[in-house]
Amino acid sequence: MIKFNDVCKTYRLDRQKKVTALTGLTLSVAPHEVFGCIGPNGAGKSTTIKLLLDLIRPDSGSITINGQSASNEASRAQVGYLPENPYIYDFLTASEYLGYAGRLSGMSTAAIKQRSEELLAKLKLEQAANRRISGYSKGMQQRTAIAAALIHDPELVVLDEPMSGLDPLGRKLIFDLIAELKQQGKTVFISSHVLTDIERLCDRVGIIVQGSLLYQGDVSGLAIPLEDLFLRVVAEAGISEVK
Amino acid sequence: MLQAIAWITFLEGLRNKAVYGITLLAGLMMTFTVALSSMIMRDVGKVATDFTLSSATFAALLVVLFVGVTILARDMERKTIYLALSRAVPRARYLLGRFCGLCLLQAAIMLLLLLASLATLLLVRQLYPSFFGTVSLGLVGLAHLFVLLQMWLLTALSMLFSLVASSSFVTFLLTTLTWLIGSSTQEVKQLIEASSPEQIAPVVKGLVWLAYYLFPNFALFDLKATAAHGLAISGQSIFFTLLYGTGYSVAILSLAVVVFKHKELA
Repeated sequence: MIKFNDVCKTYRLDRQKKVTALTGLTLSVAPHEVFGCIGPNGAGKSTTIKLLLDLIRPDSGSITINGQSASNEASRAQVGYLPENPYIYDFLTASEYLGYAGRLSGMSTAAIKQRSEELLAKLKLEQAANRRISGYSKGMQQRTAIAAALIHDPELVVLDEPMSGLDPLGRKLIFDLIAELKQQGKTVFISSHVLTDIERLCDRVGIIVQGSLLYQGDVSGLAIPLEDLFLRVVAEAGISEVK
Repeated sequence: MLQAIAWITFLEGLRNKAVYGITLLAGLMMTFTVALSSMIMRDVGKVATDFTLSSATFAALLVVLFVGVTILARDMERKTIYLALSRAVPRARYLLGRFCGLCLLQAAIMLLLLLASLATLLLVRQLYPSFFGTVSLGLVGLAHLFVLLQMWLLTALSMLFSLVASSSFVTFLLTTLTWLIGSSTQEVKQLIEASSPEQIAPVVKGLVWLAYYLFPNFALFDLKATAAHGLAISGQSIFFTLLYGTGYSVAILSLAVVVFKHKELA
Protein backbone atom coordinates (compact mmCIF):
# COMPACT_ATOMS: atom_id res chain seq x y z
CA MET A 1 0.00 0.00 0.00
CA ILE A 2 2.70 2.51 1.06
CA LYS A 3 6.33 2.32 -0.04
CA PHE A 4 9.16 4.67 0.80
CA ASN A 5 12.31 3.80 -1.09
CA ASP A 6 15.58 5.39 0.08
CA VAL A 7 13.92 8.76 0.72
CA CYS A 8 16.05 11.71 1.83
CA LYS A 9 14.77 15.12 2.82
CA THR A 10 16.54 18.26 3.96
CA TYR A 11 15.01 21.58 4.93
CA ARG A 12 16.73 24.82 4.10
CA LEU A 13 16.81 27.08 7.14
CA ASP A 14 18.43 29.97 5.30
CA ARG A 15 20.76 30.40 2.33
CA GLN A 16 23.60 28.47 3.90
CA LYS A 17 22.10 26.31 6.64
CA LYS A 18 20.32 23.07 5.93
CA VAL A 19 18.89 20.55 8.33
CA THR A 20 18.49 16.89 7.49
CA ALA A 21 15.00 15.63 8.28
CA LEU A 22 15.16 12.15 6.74
CA THR A 23 18.08 9.99 5.62
CA GLY A 24 17.54 7.01 3.33
CA LEU A 25 14.10 6.09 4.64
CA THR A 26 12.98 2.74 3.26
CA LEU A 27 9.67 1.57 4.62
CA SER A 28 6.66 -0.44 3.49
CA VAL A 29 3.18 -0.68 4.93
CA ALA A 30 1.09 -3.56 3.61
CA PRO A 31 -2.63 -3.29 2.80
CA HIS A 32 -4.90 -3.76 5.84
CA GLU A 33 -1.96 -3.20 8.18
CA VAL A 34 -1.94 -0.77 11.11
CA PHE A 35 1.53 0.74 11.28
CA GLY A 36 2.75 2.84 14.18
CA CYS A 37 5.49 5.37 13.61
CA ILE A 38 7.19 6.57 16.77
CA GLY A 39 10.22 8.65 17.59
CA PRO A 40 11.39 11.61 19.67
CA ASN A 41 10.23 15.13 18.79
CA GLY A 42 11.87 16.30 15.58
CA ALA A 43 12.78 12.77 14.51
CA GLY A 44 11.07 13.09 11.12
CA LYS A 45 7.67 11.48 11.70
CA SER A 46 5.58 14.42 10.46
CA THR A 47 8.03 14.93 7.57
CA THR A 48 7.44 11.30 6.57
CA ILE A 49 3.69 11.89 6.52
CA LYS A 50 3.95 15.19 4.61
CA LEU A 51 6.16 13.49 2.01
CA LEU A 52 3.61 10.70 1.66
CA LEU A 53 0.87 13.26 0.98
CA ASP A 54 3.06 15.29 -1.41
CA LEU A 55 2.76 18.39 0.76
CA ILE A 56 6.57 18.48 0.59
CA ARG A 57 8.89 16.80 -1.91
CA PRO A 58 11.82 14.44 -1.29
CA ASP A 59 15.36 15.41 -2.29
CA SER A 60 15.86 11.84 -3.52
CA GLY A 61 14.14 8.47 -3.40
CA SER A 62 10.62 7.50 -4.30
CA ILE A 63 7.28 7.20 -2.52
CA THR A 64 4.28 5.27 -3.79
CA ILE A 65 0.72 4.68 -2.62
CA ASN A 66 -0.87 1.60 -4.16
CA GLY A 67 1.83 1.57 -6.82
CA GLN A 68 1.16 5.17 -7.88
CA SER A 69 3.72 7.86 -7.27
CA ALA A 70 2.79 10.06 -4.30
CA SER A 71 3.36 13.09 -6.53
CA ASN A 72 0.30 12.03 -8.56
CA GLU A 73 -2.78 13.44 -6.82
CA ALA A 74 -4.86 10.46 -7.96
CA SER A 75 -2.87 8.34 -5.48
CA ARG A 76 -4.61 10.25 -2.66
CA ALA A 77 -8.19 9.55 -3.75
CA GLN A 78 -8.54 6.93 -1.03
CA VAL A 79 -6.52 8.70 1.66
CA GLY A 80 -7.85 10.34 4.81
CA TYR A 81 -5.44 12.53 6.76
CA LEU A 82 -5.54 14.01 10.23
CA PRO A 83 -2.75 16.58 10.70
CA GLU A 84 -1.02 17.21 14.02
CA ASN A 85 -2.84 19.99 15.95
CA PRO A 86 -5.29 20.54 13.12
CA TYR A 87 -6.62 24.03 12.47
CA ILE A 88 -10.00 23.78 10.86
CA TYR A 89 -12.19 26.41 9.23
CA ASP A 90 -13.77 27.77 12.39
CA PHE A 91 -16.23 29.98 10.51
CA LEU A 92 -18.08 26.81 9.47
CA THR A 93 -20.26 24.42 11.46
CA ALA A 94 -19.17 20.79 11.78
CA SER A 95 -21.87 19.77 9.27
CA GLU A 96 -20.65 22.35 6.75
CA TYR A 97 -17.03 21.32 7.31
CA LEU A 98 -17.82 17.66 6.71
CA GLY A 99 -19.87 18.65 3.66
CA TYR A 100 -16.86 20.50 2.28
CA ALA A 101 -14.54 17.57 3.02
CA GLY A 102 -16.97 15.17 1.32
CA ARG A 103 -17.32 17.34 -1.77
CA LEU A 104 -13.53 17.55 -2.06
CA SER A 105 -13.61 13.76 -2.38
CA GLY A 106 -16.38 13.85 -4.97
CA MET A 107 -19.15 12.49 -2.73
CA SER A 108 -22.82 13.08 -3.48
CA THR A 109 -24.94 15.26 -1.17
CA ALA A 110 -26.95 12.24 0.00
CA ALA A 111 -23.82 10.21 0.76
CA ILE A 112 -22.30 13.16 2.64
CA LYS A 113 -25.44 13.57 4.75
CA GLN A 114 -25.61 9.90 5.66
CA ARG A 115 -21.90 9.57 6.45
CA SER A 116 -21.79 12.87 8.38
CA GLU A 117 -24.65 11.82 10.64
CA GLU A 118 -22.95 8.48 11.25
CA LEU A 119 -19.56 10.02 12.09
CA LEU A 120 -20.94 12.89 14.17
CA ALA A 121 -22.91 10.41 16.25
CA LYS A 122 -19.91 8.12 16.63
CA LEU A 123 -17.70 11.01 17.74
CA LYS A 124 -20.36 12.47 20.05
CA LEU A 125 -20.66 15.67 18.06
CA GLU A 126 -24.26 15.47 16.85
CA GLN A 127 -25.47 18.04 19.42
CA ALA A 128 -22.91 20.57 18.21
CA ALA A 129 -23.19 19.75 14.49
CA ASN A 130 -24.85 23.04 13.57
CA ARG A 131 -22.79 25.29 15.81
CA ARG A 132 -19.79 27.24 14.53
CA ILE A 133 -16.51 25.39 15.12
CA SER A 134 -15.03 28.58 16.59
CA GLY A 135 -17.03 27.80 19.76
CA TYR A 136 -15.71 24.23 20.06
CA SER A 137 -13.23 22.99 22.64
CA LYS A 138 -9.86 21.71 21.38
CA GLY A 139 -11.01 18.12 21.79
CA MET A 140 -14.19 18.76 19.78
CA GLN A 141 -12.13 20.38 17.02
CA GLN A 142 -9.81 17.36 16.97
CA ARG A 143 -12.81 15.01 16.69
CA THR A 144 -14.30 17.13 13.89
CA ALA A 145 -10.99 16.92 12.04
CA ILE A 146 -10.97 13.14 12.43
CA ALA A 147 -14.53 12.96 11.10
CA ALA A 148 -13.44 15.01 8.08
CA ALA A 149 -10.52 12.62 7.50
CA LEU A 150 -12.91 9.67 7.47
CA ILE A 151 -15.91 11.17 5.66
CA HIS A 152 -15.14 9.46 2.33
CA ASP A 153 -14.48 6.09 4.01
CA PRO A 154 -10.85 6.00 2.81
CA GLU A 155 -8.81 2.83 2.40
CA LEU A 156 -5.70 4.46 3.84
CA VAL A 157 -5.95 6.57 7.00
CA VAL A 158 -2.97 8.68 8.05
CA LEU A 159 -3.16 9.99 11.60
CA ASP A 160 -0.56 12.39 12.97
CA GLU A 161 -0.85 12.49 16.76
CA PRO A 162 -4.56 11.57 16.82
CA MET A 163 -4.76 11.68 20.62
CA SER A 164 -3.28 15.17 20.91
CA GLY A 165 -5.46 17.58 22.88
CA LEU A 166 -8.04 14.96 23.85
CA ASP A 167 -9.34 14.22 27.33
CA PRO A 168 -9.55 10.57 28.46
CA LEU A 169 -13.08 10.22 27.06
CA GLY A 170 -12.02 11.67 23.72
CA ARG A 171 -9.02 9.38 23.64
CA LYS A 172 -11.24 6.38 24.25
CA LEU A 173 -13.51 7.46 21.38
CA ILE A 174 -10.58 7.77 18.98
CA PHE A 175 -9.01 4.57 20.23
CA ASP A 176 -12.25 2.70 19.52
CA LEU A 177 -12.53 4.35 16.14
CA ILE A 178 -9.03 3.25 15.11
CA ALA A 179 -9.77 -0.26 16.43
CA GLU A 180 -12.89 -0.25 14.23
CA LEU A 181 -10.85 0.86 11.21
CA LYS A 182 -8.51 -2.05 11.90
CA GLN A 183 -11.47 -4.44 12.07
CA GLN A 184 -12.76 -3.07 8.77
CA GLY A 185 -9.43 -3.94 7.16
CA LYS A 186 -8.30 -0.37 6.52
CA THR A 187 -4.64 0.49 6.23
CA VAL A 188 -3.70 2.88 9.01
CA PHE A 189 -0.48 4.85 9.46
CA ILE A 190 -0.29 6.42 12.93
CA SER A 191 2.33 8.71 14.31
CA SER A 192 2.01 9.04 18.07
CA HIS A 193 3.82 9.56 21.34
CA VAL A 194 1.28 7.46 23.24
CA LEU A 195 3.18 4.19 23.13
CA THR A 196 0.55 2.16 24.99
CA ASP A 197 -1.99 2.97 22.26
CA ILE A 198 0.51 2.09 19.53
CA GLU A 199 1.25 -1.19 21.29
CA ARG A 200 -2.43 -2.08 21.55
CA LEU A 201 -3.55 -0.92 18.12
CA CYS A 202 -0.70 -1.54 15.71
CA ASP A 203 0.38 -4.65 13.84
CA ARG A 204 3.87 -3.26 13.18
CA VAL A 205 5.90 -0.42 14.53
CA GLY A 206 8.79 1.67 13.21
CA ILE A 207 11.10 3.83 15.31
CA ILE A 208 12.55 6.89 13.62
CA VAL A 209 15.43 8.70 15.28
CA GLN A 210 17.22 11.70 13.77
CA GLY A 211 15.69 11.04 10.36
CA SER A 212 16.62 7.36 10.16
CA LEU A 213 14.41 4.34 10.62
CA LEU A 214 16.34 2.45 13.30
CA TYR A 215 13.84 -0.27 14.05
CA GLN A 216 10.81 -1.87 12.48
CA GLY A 217 9.03 -5.05 13.41
CA ASP A 218 5.85 -6.79 14.49
CA VAL A 219 4.33 -5.57 17.73
CA SER A 220 3.21 -9.09 18.63
CA GLY A 221 6.78 -10.36 18.44
CA LEU A 222 8.26 -7.82 20.85
CA ALA A 223 10.24 -9.45 23.63
CA ILE A 224 10.14 -6.33 25.80
CA PRO A 225 7.53 -3.57 26.27
CA LEU A 226 7.48 -1.03 23.45
CA GLU A 227 8.46 1.79 25.77
CA ASP A 228 11.62 -0.06 26.85
CA LEU A 229 12.46 -0.86 23.24
CA PHE A 230 11.92 2.77 22.25
CA LEU A 231 14.20 4.04 25.03
CA ARG A 232 16.86 1.51 24.13
CA VAL A 233 16.80 2.42 20.41
CA VAL A 234 16.97 6.12 21.22
CA ALA A 235 19.83 5.57 23.68
CA GLU A 236 21.74 3.46 21.14
CA ALA A 237 21.39 6.30 18.67
CA GLY A 238 23.32 8.44 21.12
CA ILE A 239 20.48 10.71 22.18
CA SER A 240 20.63 11.31 25.90
CA GLU A 241 17.57 13.50 26.07
CA VAL A 242 14.58 14.17 23.91
CA LYS A 243 15.07 17.22 21.67
CA MET B 1 -14.62 20.13 -6.38
CA LEU B 2 -13.82 23.58 -7.81
CA GLN B 3 -17.30 24.78 -6.84
CA ALA B 4 -16.84 23.45 -3.28
CA ILE B 5 -13.58 25.38 -2.87
CA ALA B 6 -15.06 28.52 -4.42
CA TRP B 7 -18.16 28.29 -2.23
CA ILE B 8 -16.16 27.83 0.98
CA THR B 9 -14.05 30.86 0.04
CA PHE B 10 -17.17 32.91 -0.61
CA LEU B 11 -18.61 31.84 2.77
CA GLU B 12 -15.33 32.65 4.51
CA GLY B 13 -15.50 36.15 3.08
CA LEU B 14 -19.20 36.58 3.88
CA ARG B 15 -18.67 35.52 7.50
CA ASN B 16 -15.70 37.85 7.93
CA LYS B 17 -16.63 40.83 10.07
CA ALA B 18 -14.26 43.04 8.06
CA VAL B 19 -16.57 42.73 5.03
CA TYR B 20 -19.48 44.16 7.01
CA GLY B 21 -17.31 46.98 8.32
CA ILE B 22 -16.11 47.86 4.83
CA THR B 23 -19.61 47.71 3.34
CA LEU B 24 -20.91 49.91 6.16
CA LEU B 25 -18.08 52.39 5.54
CA ALA B 26 -18.99 52.53 1.84
CA GLY B 27 -22.64 53.09 2.77
CA LEU B 28 -21.67 55.97 5.05
CA MET B 29 -19.48 57.52 2.36
CA MET B 30 -22.36 57.37 -0.11
CA THR B 31 -24.69 58.97 2.44
CA PHE B 32 -22.07 61.66 2.89
CA THR B 33 -22.21 62.23 -0.89
CA VAL B 34 -25.81 63.39 -0.52
CA ALA B 35 -24.81 65.81 2.27
CA LEU B 36 -21.80 66.97 0.25
CA SER B 37 -24.01 67.70 -2.77
CA SER B 38 -25.95 70.30 -0.79
CA MET B 39 -22.73 72.29 -0.28
CA ILE B 40 -21.79 72.47 -3.96
CA MET B 41 -23.00 75.31 -6.12
CA ARG B 42 -22.62 73.67 -9.55
CA ASP B 43 -21.61 70.40 -11.21
CA VAL B 44 -23.34 68.51 -8.41
CA GLY B 45 -23.71 65.38 -10.58
CA LYS B 46 -20.02 65.31 -11.49
CA VAL B 47 -18.87 65.63 -7.87
CA ALA B 48 -21.44 63.08 -6.66
CA THR B 49 -20.43 60.59 -9.39
CA ASP B 50 -16.76 61.06 -8.65
CA PHE B 51 -17.36 60.62 -4.93
CA THR B 52 -19.59 57.52 -5.20
CA LEU B 53 -17.19 55.83 -7.64
CA SER B 54 -14.23 56.69 -5.41
CA SER B 55 -16.10 55.24 -2.41
CA ALA B 56 -16.89 52.05 -4.33
CA THR B 57 -13.27 51.70 -5.47
CA PHE B 58 -11.96 52.33 -1.95
CA ALA B 59 -14.34 49.76 -0.42
CA ALA B 60 -13.51 47.15 -3.08
CA LEU B 61 -9.80 47.78 -2.51
CA LEU B 62 -10.22 47.29 1.24
CA VAL B 63 -11.98 43.97 0.59
CA VAL B 64 -8.99 42.80 -1.49
CA LEU B 65 -6.45 44.02 1.07
CA PHE B 66 -8.16 42.86 4.26
CA VAL B 67 -10.01 39.77 3.09
CA GLY B 68 -8.54 38.59 -0.21
CA VAL B 69 -4.91 38.94 0.81
CA THR B 70 -5.34 36.99 4.05
CA ILE B 71 -7.40 34.06 2.81
CA LEU B 72 -4.68 32.09 1.00
CA ALA B 73 -1.85 33.31 3.25
CA ARG B 74 -3.74 32.23 6.39
CA ASP B 75 -4.69 28.96 4.72
CA MET B 76 -1.00 28.13 4.42
CA GLU B 77 0.04 29.59 7.78
CA ARG B 78 -2.65 27.67 9.69
CA LYS B 79 -2.27 24.61 7.46
CA THR B 80 -6.03 24.43 6.83
CA ILE B 81 -4.97 23.88 3.22
CA TYR B 82 -3.98 20.29 4.17
CA LEU B 83 -7.62 19.17 4.15
CA ALA B 84 -7.89 19.72 0.40
CA LEU B 85 -4.34 18.96 -0.70
CA SER B 86 -4.13 15.66 1.19
CA ARG B 87 -6.87 14.45 -1.16
CA ALA B 88 -6.97 14.00 -4.91
CA VAL B 89 -7.29 17.75 -5.45
CA PRO B 90 -4.85 19.19 -8.01
CA ARG B 91 -3.10 22.27 -6.69
CA ALA B 92 -4.08 24.26 -9.78
CA ARG B 93 -7.74 23.53 -9.13
CA TYR B 94 -7.41 24.52 -5.49
CA LEU B 95 -5.88 27.87 -6.39
CA LEU B 96 -8.47 28.47 -9.10
CA GLY B 97 -11.27 27.58 -6.68
CA ARG B 98 -9.93 30.07 -4.14
CA PHE B 99 -9.67 32.75 -6.85
CA CYS B 100 -13.20 32.09 -8.13
CA GLY B 101 -14.57 32.30 -4.58
CA LEU B 102 -12.90 35.65 -4.02
CA CYS B 103 -14.15 36.90 -7.39
CA LEU B 104 -17.67 35.84 -6.45
CA LEU B 105 -17.39 37.65 -3.11
CA GLN B 106 -16.15 40.83 -4.79
CA ALA B 107 -18.87 40.59 -7.43
CA ALA B 108 -21.55 40.35 -4.72
CA ILE B 109 -20.08 43.32 -2.84
CA MET B 110 -19.68 45.30 -6.06
CA LEU B 111 -23.33 44.67 -6.94
CA LEU B 112 -24.31 46.10 -3.55
CA LEU B 113 -22.03 49.09 -4.10
CA LEU B 114 -23.46 49.66 -7.58
CA LEU B 115 -27.00 49.67 -6.19
CA ALA B 116 -25.93 52.09 -3.44
CA SER B 117 -24.16 54.33 -6.01
CA LEU B 118 -27.20 54.40 -8.31
CA ALA B 119 -29.55 55.08 -5.40
CA THR B 120 -27.29 57.92 -4.22
CA LEU B 121 -27.03 59.48 -7.69
CA LEU B 122 -30.77 59.18 -8.34
CA LEU B 123 -31.45 60.83 -5.00
CA VAL B 124 -28.98 63.66 -5.76
CA ARG B 125 -30.57 64.11 -9.23
CA GLN B 126 -34.00 64.27 -7.60
CA LEU B 127 -32.81 66.88 -5.09
CA TYR B 128 -30.81 69.06 -7.51
CA PRO B 129 -32.19 68.43 -11.05
CA SER B 130 -30.93 71.75 -12.43
CA PHE B 131 -27.31 71.18 -11.38
CA PHE B 132 -26.99 67.46 -12.02
CA GLY B 133 -25.41 67.86 -15.45
CA THR B 134 -24.65 65.16 -18.02
CA VAL B 135 -23.84 62.21 -15.77
CA SER B 136 -24.43 58.88 -17.51
CA LEU B 137 -25.86 56.23 -15.17
CA GLY B 138 -25.06 53.57 -17.77
CA LEU B 139 -21.41 54.59 -17.61
CA VAL B 140 -21.58 54.54 -13.81
CA GLY B 141 -22.59 50.86 -14.14
CA LEU B 142 -19.74 50.22 -16.58
CA ALA B 143 -17.33 52.02 -14.24
CA HIS B 144 -18.32 49.63 -11.42
CA LEU B 145 -17.72 46.67 -13.74
CA PHE B 146 -14.24 48.02 -14.50
CA VAL B 147 -13.54 48.51 -10.77
CA LEU B 148 -14.54 44.87 -10.27
CA LEU B 149 -12.25 43.80 -13.09
CA GLN B 150 -9.27 45.63 -11.63
CA MET B 151 -9.97 44.11 -8.19
CA TRP B 152 -9.99 40.64 -9.75
CA LEU B 153 -6.63 41.43 -11.30
CA LEU B 154 -5.32 42.73 -7.96
CA THR B 155 -6.63 39.55 -6.29
CA ALA B 156 -4.72 37.39 -8.77
CA LEU B 157 -1.60 39.41 -7.98
CA SER B 158 -2.17 39.12 -4.22
CA MET B 159 -2.47 35.33 -4.60
CA LEU B 160 0.85 35.24 -6.43
CA PHE B 161 2.41 37.38 -3.70
CA SER B 162 0.95 35.07 -1.00
CA LEU B 163 2.85 32.20 -2.56
CA VAL B 164 6.21 33.93 -2.65
CA ALA B 165 6.04 36.18 0.43
CA SER B 166 7.07 35.01 3.88
CA SER B 167 3.98 36.37 5.67
CA SER B 168 0.56 37.85 5.05
CA PHE B 169 1.91 41.27 6.08
CA VAL B 170 4.49 41.18 3.26
CA THR B 171 1.71 40.11 0.87
CA PHE B 172 -0.36 43.07 2.08
CA LEU B 173 2.55 45.46 1.47
CA LEU B 174 3.32 44.09 -2.00
CA THR B 175 -0.34 44.24 -3.02
CA THR B 176 -0.72 47.80 -1.73
CA LEU B 177 2.45 48.94 -3.49
CA THR B 178 1.37 47.32 -6.73
CA TRP B 179 -1.96 49.11 -6.50
CA LEU B 180 -0.34 52.48 -5.83
CA ILE B 181 2.23 52.13 -8.60
CA GLY B 182 -0.21 50.61 -11.09
CA SER B 183 -2.71 53.43 -10.50
CA SER B 184 -0.23 56.24 -11.07
CA THR B 185 2.34 55.16 -13.69
CA GLN B 186 0.22 56.22 -16.67
CA GLU B 187 -0.15 59.74 -15.34
CA VAL B 188 3.55 60.00 -14.45
CA LYS B 189 4.55 58.66 -17.86
CA GLN B 190 2.33 61.19 -19.61
CA LEU B 191 3.80 63.96 -17.46
CA ILE B 192 7.35 62.93 -18.36
CA GLU B 193 6.51 62.70 -22.05
CA ALA B 194 5.03 66.18 -21.92
CA SER B 195 8.16 67.62 -20.26
CA SER B 196 11.21 68.79 -22.16
CA PRO B 197 14.04 66.17 -22.24
CA GLU B 198 16.52 68.26 -20.17
CA GLN B 199 14.03 68.56 -17.27
CA ILE B 200 13.96 64.81 -16.48
CA ALA B 201 17.00 62.65 -15.76
CA PRO B 202 17.33 59.61 -18.07
CA VAL B 203 17.42 57.31 -15.00
CA VAL B 204 14.04 58.60 -13.82
CA LYS B 205 12.64 58.20 -17.32
CA GLY B 206 13.94 54.65 -17.44
CA LEU B 207 12.44 53.80 -14.05
CA VAL B 208 9.05 55.20 -14.97
CA TRP B 209 9.15 53.35 -18.29
CA LEU B 210 10.05 50.12 -16.46
CA ALA B 211 7.28 50.57 -13.87
CA TYR B 212 4.77 51.38 -16.63
CA TYR B 213 5.42 48.11 -18.46
CA LEU B 214 6.14 45.92 -15.41
CA PHE B 215 3.07 46.80 -13.34
CA PRO B 216 -0.54 46.52 -14.48
CA ASN B 217 -2.01 49.79 -15.65
CA PHE B 218 -4.93 50.26 -13.25
CA ALA B 219 -5.63 53.75 -14.62
CA LEU B 220 -6.99 52.06 -17.72
CA PHE B 221 -9.97 50.86 -15.67
CA ASP B 222 -10.73 54.28 -14.20
CA LEU B 223 -13.94 55.60 -15.75
CA LYS B 224 -14.72 58.22 -13.09
CA ALA B 225 -14.16 61.25 -15.35
CA THR B 226 -15.84 59.59 -18.35
CA ALA B 227 -18.98 58.74 -16.33
CA ALA B 228 -19.09 62.10 -14.48
CA HIS B 229 -18.90 64.09 -17.73
CA GLY B 230 -21.10 61.69 -19.69
CA LEU B 231 -18.36 61.31 -22.32
CA ALA B 232 -18.62 58.76 -25.09
CA ILE B 233 -16.61 55.57 -24.82
CA SER B 234 -16.07 53.33 -27.81
CA GLY B 235 -16.94 49.65 -27.87
CA GLN B 236 -13.37 49.01 -29.00
CA SER B 237 -12.01 50.71 -25.89
CA ILE B 238 -14.34 48.69 -23.61
CA PHE B 239 -13.34 45.48 -25.39
CA PHE B 240 -9.63 46.31 -25.10
CA THR B 241 -9.92 47.05 -21.35
CA LEU B 242 -11.86 43.83 -20.74
CA LEU B 243 -9.29 41.88 -22.74
CA TYR B 244 -6.40 43.56 -20.89
CA GLY B 245 -7.88 42.83 -17.45
CA THR B 246 -8.82 39.24 -18.25
CA GLY B 247 -5.57 38.49 -20.08
CA TYR B 248 -3.42 39.97 -17.32
CA SER B 249 -5.36 38.05 -14.62
CA VAL B 250 -5.03 34.76 -16.54
CA ALA B 251 -1.29 35.34 -17.01
CA ILE B 252 -0.75 36.11 -13.30
CA LEU B 253 -2.89 33.14 -12.22
CA SER B 254 -0.96 30.83 -14.54
CA LEU B 255 2.29 32.03 -12.97
CA ALA B 256 0.79 31.53 -9.50
CA VAL B 257 -0.20 27.96 -10.42
CA VAL B 258 3.38 27.19 -11.52
CA VAL B 259 4.76 28.61 -8.25
CA PHE B 260 2.13 26.79 -6.17
CA LYS B 261 2.84 23.44 -7.85
CA HIS B 262 6.45 23.67 -6.72
CA LYS B 263 5.76 25.11 -3.27
CA GLU B 264 6.60 23.06 -0.18
CA LEU B 265 3.81 23.19 2.37
CA ALA B 266 5.77 22.18 5.45
